[in-house]
Amino acid sequence: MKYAITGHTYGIGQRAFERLSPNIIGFARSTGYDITKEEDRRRIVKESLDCDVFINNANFGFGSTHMLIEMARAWADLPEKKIINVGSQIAEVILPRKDLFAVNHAFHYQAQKASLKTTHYNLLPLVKCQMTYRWFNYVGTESIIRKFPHFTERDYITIDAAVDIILS
Amino acid sequence: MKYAITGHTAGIGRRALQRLDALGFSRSTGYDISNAEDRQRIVYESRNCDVFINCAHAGFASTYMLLDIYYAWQDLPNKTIINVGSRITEIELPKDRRDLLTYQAEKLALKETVARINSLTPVCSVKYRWFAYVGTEKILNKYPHFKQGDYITEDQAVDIILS
Repeated sequence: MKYAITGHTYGIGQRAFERLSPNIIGFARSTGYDITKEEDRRRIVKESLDCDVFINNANFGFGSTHMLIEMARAWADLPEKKIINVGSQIAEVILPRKDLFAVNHAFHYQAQKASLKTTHYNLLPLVKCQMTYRWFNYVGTESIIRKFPHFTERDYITIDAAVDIILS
Repeated sequence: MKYAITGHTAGIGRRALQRLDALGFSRSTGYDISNAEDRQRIVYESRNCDVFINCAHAGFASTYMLLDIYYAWQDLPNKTIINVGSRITEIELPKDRRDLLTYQAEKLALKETVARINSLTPVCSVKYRWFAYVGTEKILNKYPHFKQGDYITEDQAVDIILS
């Protein structure tokens, strides 16, 4: 089984990449692949063609929605291929009116992840390839623990647990 | 009543601008809604308007435009934000129209963001208005076989937006 993953240079993507090596190729902004750019997405699609599973993990603007649509188009008639979309609990909740919004643009993040989820479910009846949408709440990545220093172990799942959910 | 409108140099937006007392913002006049700084300028320059018509379509940027103007207006009564959607959010795409998936995802992001904002019961009013094909120059050039029954007029589209 050969995998491709976006956003493999830190956090959840990095762990998934480590666990699935050497049967995995990775695409990240820091290695020259920006999913908000059409020509970069086209290269990602092309270079992933002989993989069996594509993990749509990187989150950058609405790029992951574009990434999903373009990958699903390429694999539409291939029932043995699989696309895994990495969502977030934020697409499942109603955000409080104000506080979060000002602090970290949570509404932008919510709109992006909700778009990925909606597009995933809209695509399902249109393609023959397999597709899953997986989500979780906070994961104990470096950036989350730095951002929320008051978190205890009960406030997040481990990176490995997140990878298990993605691959389930 | 003072209006602000994005995408006022073509099609429906241009017609709306002709009919209303409105400020216009478009790429050709120096306001690109895909650019966060340009959106901030639009929000600032629209501050004295009563109604904001989020008409321009540029990828997912109209969702960002909505969120930015909503953030500025959320606690202001008597302000209205009208989002121009499309019938594409109301239908299931046929299998042979995968080419429309991106456009559908963009308009759905706008529609669902309006729904999420309204679930917060904002003080300002936030609306989503949609229609199918409109007889703009661009549409008529693209679909030369269209007959009158296949589309609504620009004026009818503006009526729906303002309803």
